[in-house]
Amino acid sequence: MNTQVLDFIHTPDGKDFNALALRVFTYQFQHNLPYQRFCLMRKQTPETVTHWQEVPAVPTVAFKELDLTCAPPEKIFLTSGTTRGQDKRGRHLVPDLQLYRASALAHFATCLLPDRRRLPVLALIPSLEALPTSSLTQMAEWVMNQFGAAGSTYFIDTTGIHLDAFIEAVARAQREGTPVCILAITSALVAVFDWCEAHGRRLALPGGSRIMDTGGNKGKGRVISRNGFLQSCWKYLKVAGYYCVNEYGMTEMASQFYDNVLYNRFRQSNEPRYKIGPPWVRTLVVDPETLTAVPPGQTGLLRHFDLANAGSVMAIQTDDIGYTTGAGFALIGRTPGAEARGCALVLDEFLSAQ
Amino acid sequence: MSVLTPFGLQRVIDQILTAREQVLARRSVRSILSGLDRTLQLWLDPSSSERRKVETALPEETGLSPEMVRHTLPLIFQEYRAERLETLLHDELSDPQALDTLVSGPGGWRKAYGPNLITQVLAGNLPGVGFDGIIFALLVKSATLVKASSATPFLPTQFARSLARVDPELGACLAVVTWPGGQAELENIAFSRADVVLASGTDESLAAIRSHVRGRFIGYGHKLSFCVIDKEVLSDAQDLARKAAYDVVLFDQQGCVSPQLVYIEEGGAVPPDEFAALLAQALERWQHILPRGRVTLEASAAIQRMRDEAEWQALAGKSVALYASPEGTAWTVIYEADPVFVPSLLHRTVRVKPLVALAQLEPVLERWRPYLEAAAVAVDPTRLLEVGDLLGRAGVNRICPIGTMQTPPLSWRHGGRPRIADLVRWVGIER
Repeated sequence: MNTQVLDFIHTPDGKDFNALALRVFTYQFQHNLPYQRFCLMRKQTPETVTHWQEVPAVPTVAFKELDLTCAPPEKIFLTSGTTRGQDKRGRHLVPDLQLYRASALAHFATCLLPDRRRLPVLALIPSLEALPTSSLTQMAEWVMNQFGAAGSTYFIDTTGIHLDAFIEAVARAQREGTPVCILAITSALVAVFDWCEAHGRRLALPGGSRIMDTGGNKGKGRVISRNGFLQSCWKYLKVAGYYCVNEYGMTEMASQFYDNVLYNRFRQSNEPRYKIGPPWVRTLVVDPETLTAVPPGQTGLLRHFDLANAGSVMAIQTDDIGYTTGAGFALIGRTPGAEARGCALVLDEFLSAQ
Repeated sequence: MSVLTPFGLQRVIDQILTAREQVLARRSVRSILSGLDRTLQLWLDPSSSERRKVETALPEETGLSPEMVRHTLPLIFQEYRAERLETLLHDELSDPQALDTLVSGPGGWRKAYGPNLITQVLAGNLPGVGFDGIIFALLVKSATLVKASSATPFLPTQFARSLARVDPELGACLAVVTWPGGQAELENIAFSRADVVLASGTDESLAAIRSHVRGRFIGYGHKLSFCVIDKEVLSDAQDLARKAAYDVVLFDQQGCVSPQLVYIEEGGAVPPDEFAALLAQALERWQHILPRGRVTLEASAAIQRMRDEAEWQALAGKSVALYASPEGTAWTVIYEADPVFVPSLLHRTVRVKPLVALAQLEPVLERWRPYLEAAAVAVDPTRLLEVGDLLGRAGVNRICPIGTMQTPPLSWRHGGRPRIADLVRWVGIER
C-alpha cells in the first residue's frame, strides 16, 4: 500500500485519486480495527463505499481516545493539548515515516520553493531535539536537512527562544545580501515584531527571502490579524505579502496545506490568497448540521482525505470552518463552543474563565 | 427605531421622570395593576393584533421555532396577571398599600418608595427575559428606561406600545430604547442617572455596566440548572423522562432555569443509562411537537464535536453512551458514568449521570456554587425537604417539580433575592 501511495506522491500526474483512495480505505478497514468498528457502526464497508467522498471520516477528537493505526508505529506524534484546557492529548501513530516525509517535503517545495532555490533556513520553531513528539518539529527538521543551505539554524531550543540571535542572523543576511527562508510559529514572529518595535529596529531581508508561519497566535501573546501580520512582515523585515505563506496542518495528518501566493507568483497567476493541498489530498466542506457536503463556496466544516495517512486513517473530520474556493479552500477559523445565548451559562465561558 | 443621540436620551429620561412625578407617583397600586392587566389581556388573547404581530415576528428575531413561540408566549404572560402580582406584593411587602400611603404597623407607620428611575438592560434574546423587571418597576411607581438588546428589541418595544395605548399614563413612564454595544456616552447617561440599574448578561458585560452605575446595581448573570431524580420514584421513569425532556425543550434550553444535566440515583427500578434512552425518546417526541429553532453553524459544529467525543469514548470502552437525533443536531443525550458536573452546549444537549447517593451532589456542585439557579427534583416525598436543604446549601435558589422548570412562579426569588422588596426604600415614622 505504501509503495502505491509513494508512487502517487512522486508522480501524481494522471493518477486516479479515487481508485487509490478506495484501496487505502479497504486497507485501513482491514487493518485498523477501531476504525473498522466505527465504519460498521456507520454501516459502511469497502463493499458499500464507491467514492472517496463516502469514506467515513474520523473526528480529530478520536485520536484522544484510541490508537488509530494499521501497523505498529515507527513514531508517535502528540497534539499540543493546549486547546480548551484539556490535558488529554491526541496521538497520531505513524507506521511509516517515509510517507509522511515524502508528502511533507513535496508540498513544501511546491508552495515555498517554486523557484527551487536553496536558502538558509532560519527556524523560529523548536528543534526536533527540544520537542521530539511534535509533527511540526519533525517536518521542520526534514525541511532543514533536505532544502536548507549552509547557515540554517534553530532559534528555539530547550532553553527558550533566542530573539537576539535571530535578529542578528537576519541582519547578517541583510548585510551579505543572502535571501533566507524563515520557518516560524506565528506567535514567535509576532514576538520578533514587538522586539523590533521596542528597539526601533527595521530590517530589510534581500529579495527572494520568504516566510512560512504556522499555528496562529491566539492565546499566546499579542493577537494579530492576518493583514496585520503581513503588514508587519513588510514593515520590520521587508518581506512582501506574496512571499509570506501561512501553513495549516495538524498532527493527525501527514500532509499540509499552504497559502497559494508564492506558488502563484511563479506561475504568473494572480488568484486571491487561499489554501492549497497536494494532489494526494482532497478536501470536502460539510454542513455541520447534516454532515453532508455543501455546495462550493458555502461555509462549513473541513473534512480532509489524505492518502499519505495510509498507515493510520485517511479521512479526517476537523473542527475547522472554511469554504472551498478555486483549487483549494479558505480557512475561517476553528469551532468555538456554542456561542452564548439566552441567560444559561455555556461551556466555553467556563473554560475561558479558568 | 431612530438613532439615539446623547441629547435625545437625556430628553427621553426627562420625559419619563416628569410623567412619573405627575401621574405615576399619584396613582394607586391597584390602578397600576389594572392598567398592566388590561394590557396583558391583549397579549394573552390569541386573536388580538398584538399577539399575532408578536407570533409572526419572534421566530425570525429569536431563532425559536414558530411552534415554540406560540407555546411559550402564554406561559410568559399569564404569570403577570393582576391576582398573581397582588399575591407577590403581599408576599414581599406584607401590605402593598404601603406603596400608596403610610400604613400603621408595630411601633408607628411606614411607607415604601420605589426609585425615581430604574434603568434595565435586557441581554438575552429569549422572549420574556427581563419582562418581570419592567412590570415590577411600574408597580413600585418608578419611571423605567429599558435598553433592549439591539438584536431582539421587538417584544419590549411592542409591550411599551400597547401599554401606551391601553393606559397612556403608565405608558408615558416606560421608554424602550436600544443602541449597539460600546456607546460609552449613552451608557453613561443611562446608568448614571438611574437610582437602580437591573441588568442581565455575561459576567463581563455585567461588570462593565456596574462600573457606570452610581445608584444600586442588581445583576443577573448566566446561570446553571439541572434535574435530580432519586431511586424511589424511578418506577415512573417514562413520565419523568417526558417531563425532564419538556424542561430541556422549552426555549431550546437557553433559559437560566433550563436543565443542563440530569442526575439519577442508582438502584431504582430503571438504571441511569436506561433513563438516558428514555429521555432521548422523549426528546424525539417533543421535537415533532415543539421543533428546535435555528442554530448557528458554530453551535452545530460544537454539538457535533461533543457527539464525536462521546461516540469515541464509547468505542474506547468507557461508560459513555450517545443518543442523537436522527436528523441534524436537534437533540443530544449523553450518558456518562462520571458524575462530574459539565455545563451543556445548550440547544437541547443534555448529559445524564448516575449518583451512588444524592449526598454525592455536594462535592459535585461545589465548584459551580455561584452559578447555580434551579434544580428540578423528583424524590420520594419524605425526602423532599432533606434533598431541598442539601441543594439549598449547595447554592441552588429554586427547587421545583420536574416539568415546571421553565414556568417559575412569580414568587421565585431569582438569584436568591426578593424581587420587589429589593427595589423599594422604606421610611418609618416612630411613635
